[in-house]
Amino acid sequence: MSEILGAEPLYRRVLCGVGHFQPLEDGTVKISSQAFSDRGMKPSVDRSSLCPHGPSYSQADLSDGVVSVLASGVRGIAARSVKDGVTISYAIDVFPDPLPGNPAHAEIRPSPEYATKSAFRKVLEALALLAAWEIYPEEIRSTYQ
Amino acid sequence: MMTRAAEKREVRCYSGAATGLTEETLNFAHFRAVTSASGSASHDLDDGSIRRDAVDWAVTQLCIGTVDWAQIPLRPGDATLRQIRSLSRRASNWDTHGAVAVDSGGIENAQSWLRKAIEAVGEKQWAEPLVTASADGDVVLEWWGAGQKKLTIYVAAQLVEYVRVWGKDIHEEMDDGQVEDPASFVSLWQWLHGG
Repeated sequence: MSEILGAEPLYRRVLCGVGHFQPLEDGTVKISSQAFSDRGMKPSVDRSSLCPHGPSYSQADLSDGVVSVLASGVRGIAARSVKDGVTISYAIDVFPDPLPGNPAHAEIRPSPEYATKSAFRKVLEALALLAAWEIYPEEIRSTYQ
Repeated sequence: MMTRAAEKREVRCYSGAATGLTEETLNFAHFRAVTSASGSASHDLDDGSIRRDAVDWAVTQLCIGTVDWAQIPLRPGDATLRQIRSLSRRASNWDTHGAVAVDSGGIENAQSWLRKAIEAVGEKQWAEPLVTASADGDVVLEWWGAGQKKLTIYVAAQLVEYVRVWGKDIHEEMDDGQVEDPASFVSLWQWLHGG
């Protein structure tokens, strides 16, 4: 399993039609924090170095959008939470997690595991700010591509 | 989401018994009817009740072609309320990453909270949020302000929480907490739209 270098982009699929992006009047298309939401608080991404066709590899449907974040950006997220008066600092990193149908699969995980939802929610906000569009969702592709 | 044209067609099929119409369409007809009849937008029509006389009036006006509903502007919050209601259609795993179905209590609370928030902020100042759900089933509302200012509201059945963002640094440029009442939301709103 190869190391994930800091310069490696990580791709994340952005679903169409579920409110995961917002075009603004200034011409930008904002990414919802919920585009990175994950029930297990370990958002899935695809390693670009293992995606033979670039970001389109991460589309499950041609209507999907795809955003990217650099592994170094993920590692630069400094999250912490306070629970019962104790401050917990988290190291956020991306770990290879190849699946039978997706050898590029990786997960963004904290160490230790999040003690509160608050910390994870802020990580989602940071990821949304770090993310850049690779492929716009179909709904807006003709306008922004 | 049903388009206005589709709603219009559906209401044209209405024969007085209200069978075959979705609740959403009837609410829509009710809203249009009362706002058209009264000429004002002061009615609260999202309480789930349907006034039959209002629907009858709406259908009549449509049939005789005196009302073009598409020309009547929506009230502030109407689009958001409909989007919140539509979250109930999201079944488990709607995000393909194992999300739970959106909590019905959260949807009800979000509708109620939204009305109070609009009233507190003022209809003229109101801006519609991006509406979605979290993987945990909360209703999520997001607004973007100037620069990197952003406000995210999470609504569960018994709890409304916020995350406020003005940069990527979690320690220095984000905070969060509970939205205790409409007044506390006003201060968040003023922060988002302030200089």
